Amino acid sequence: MHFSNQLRSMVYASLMSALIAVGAFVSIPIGPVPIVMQNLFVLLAGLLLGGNRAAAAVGIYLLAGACGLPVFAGGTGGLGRLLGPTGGYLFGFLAAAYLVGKAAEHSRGRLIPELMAMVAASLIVYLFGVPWLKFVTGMDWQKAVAVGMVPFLAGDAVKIAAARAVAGSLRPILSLQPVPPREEKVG
Amino acid sequence: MAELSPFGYRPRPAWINDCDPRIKLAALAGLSVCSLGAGWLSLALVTSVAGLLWLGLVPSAAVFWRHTRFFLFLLMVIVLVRALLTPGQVLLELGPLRLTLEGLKSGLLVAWRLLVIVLLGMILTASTSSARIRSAVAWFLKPVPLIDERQAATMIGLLIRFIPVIFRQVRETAAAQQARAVAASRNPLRRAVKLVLPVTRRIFLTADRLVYAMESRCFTLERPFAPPEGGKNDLPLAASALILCLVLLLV
Amino acid sequence: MMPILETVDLSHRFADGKWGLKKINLAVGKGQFVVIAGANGSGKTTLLRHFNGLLEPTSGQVFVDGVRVGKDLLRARKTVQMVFQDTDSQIVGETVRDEVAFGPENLGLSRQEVRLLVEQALETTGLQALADVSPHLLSGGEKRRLTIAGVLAMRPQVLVLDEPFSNLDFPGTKMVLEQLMALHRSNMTIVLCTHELEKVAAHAQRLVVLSRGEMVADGPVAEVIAGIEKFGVHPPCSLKCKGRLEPWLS
Ligand SMILES: Nc1ncnc2c1ncn2[C@@H]1O[C@H](COP(=O)(O)OP(=O)(O)OP(=O)(O)O)[C@@H](O)[C@H]1O
Ligand SMILES: [Mg+2]
Repeated sequence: MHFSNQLRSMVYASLMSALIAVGAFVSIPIGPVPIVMQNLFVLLAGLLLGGNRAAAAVGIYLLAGACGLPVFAGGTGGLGRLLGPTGGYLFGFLAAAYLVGKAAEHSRGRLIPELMAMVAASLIVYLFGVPWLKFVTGMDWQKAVAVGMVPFLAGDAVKIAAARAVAGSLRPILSLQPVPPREEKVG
Repeated sequence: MAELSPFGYRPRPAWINDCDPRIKLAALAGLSVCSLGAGWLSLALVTSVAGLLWLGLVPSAAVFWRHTRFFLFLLMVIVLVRALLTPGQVLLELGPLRLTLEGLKSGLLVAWRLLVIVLLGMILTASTSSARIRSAVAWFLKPVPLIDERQAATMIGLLIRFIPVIFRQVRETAAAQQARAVAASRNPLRRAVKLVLPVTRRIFLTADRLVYAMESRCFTLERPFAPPEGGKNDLPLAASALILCLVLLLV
Repeated sequence: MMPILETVDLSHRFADGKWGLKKINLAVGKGQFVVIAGANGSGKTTLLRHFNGLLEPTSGQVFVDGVRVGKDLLRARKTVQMVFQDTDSQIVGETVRDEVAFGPENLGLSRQEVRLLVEQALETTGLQALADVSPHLLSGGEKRRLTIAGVLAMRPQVLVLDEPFSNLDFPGTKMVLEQLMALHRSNMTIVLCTHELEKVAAHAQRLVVLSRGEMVADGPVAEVIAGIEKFGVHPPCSLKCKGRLEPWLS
């Protein structure tokens, strides 16, 4: 009776937005390409919040950034960042979070479907990111894939495994189930 | 937000500061879209206007540099890649690489357009408090179906609120792990989990406490929302943005 | 007189099956200053969260001003306002003024009313000069007073504070304590929980002791405090050294 689930899910989604924002600044330096934590948090948003709320979390992040609030990596820039060479990846996050979230709602914690959804979601990020990178920079496909995708694949595998492990130990302490109790409007 | 924008918003006696945030947002969006197809001359004009505005707000080019260097690096990559990949009159030959005039031009043009958009975005950030940006966003979202604008505005507020808290916890966690030599581990998976798990766990507990505190003070989405307020320079701002848009489109 | 706050056989069991509170019977009269003491993990925070319906009793009841909390949550929350243990995670506003306005705005008051309440709360807590500052820039003591201002602006009849002195230095503690004494003099009901009796013992009228989720003592401070050590609470020094309670504020 007491808990307004709406407030709780709003706060959690905003929290994931903030983690996604901060994730752009947090990296583990390994090998030539440091592993940036941002897309780990995108996957985690899906796993912990479910589809709609995860999409809301990423959407709020993009909206805040587009309006000039300083949430993007490397300072502000507003719309310019969404239109810049790496803008495609940011839009890809929206689709990725939603996909993982929906999969998590249906898989009810089973490992294989969640892993598959995260692999698909990671590829979807490139599906948005690489063509946009190619378009803005004028590279050919081969080069765009070589600089905009290949170097990050190993890191992605690590992040998928890490996201799943982290979600596994966070789920019990969250007061929200991945399946939303009722349909709600998301911001 | 200290970590993210040390230049941030401060109430400064600037011409653009107390303009209606809705007009500022609309001007930003309009000018950004129009710049995407703009040519050299109009870009030069908009850049000088924006540059003057920026210097009037934050009298320092160094601050601009500090907050955009990552993006400037990306722009440099664009220029370089375009200069090397576009066929045309060769300016410079370095082994297999050919730097062409056409490529350099197209690269510079694309980079400049994006730079203008970023500069405009920074002017907005430096001249508008996040609360006012939020109220303007809510106003624009009102007619959008499926999105509850009050919820969106509340979430943006919470997002901004959580960012410095998370930064602090990341720093503390990283320092604690340095002390326990976790960071020396070779296994990237272990390192990722060891960094992310404690931070997220603690931050979710913080979020729970925030939920209690908000609930305890009777939180409701029906709360009155400070409507965006205008200032005396609204009209000049709107007019000049409109003129610049036209210049960008036509010249 | 009807107590303003009352629990009847209140028990709470957490989702993991652990009992947080067992059969708590507590009645607080209007204008009382009650201190709830107990060691870490004794259930103080859990008990407070029942006072305005943030937690739901597993069994038993909580009444605020004679009405069961679950029956009219909003009324309970308007009557009982709470200052939480951790200041940073309860501040919502982007400026001091916004933060204080948060509660009254939720009550659907008019703008003028909200402004008036905010100004009064800022004045009572002496924060007017900081009204437009970001809460993150305040000192620990100022932050604590801000959280008190935020709840005072809601005009509660009962003020509940969870460990209000934690992380405060001497001047910070002094400021908060003086604030509470002033409120108490103006007839505010105050329920304060702490494990540092030192600071409040001499100023409160009544002391309740919790241990492992059970209420193990309840009575006038001077009577209860004598045997308090066995419940894991450190008795005030003045009692030990001089054999009597001395006010911490001189
Ligand atoms: N959500 C929860 N689920 C399970 N156990 C909990 C939960 N919240 C608190 N507890 C446990 O209940 C007990 C009482 O907790 P509570 O926070 O009320 O103690 P406290 O007296 O406020 O302690 P402190 O002085 O440390 O603040 C503790 O042992 C705690 O671990
Ligand atoms: Mg406690």
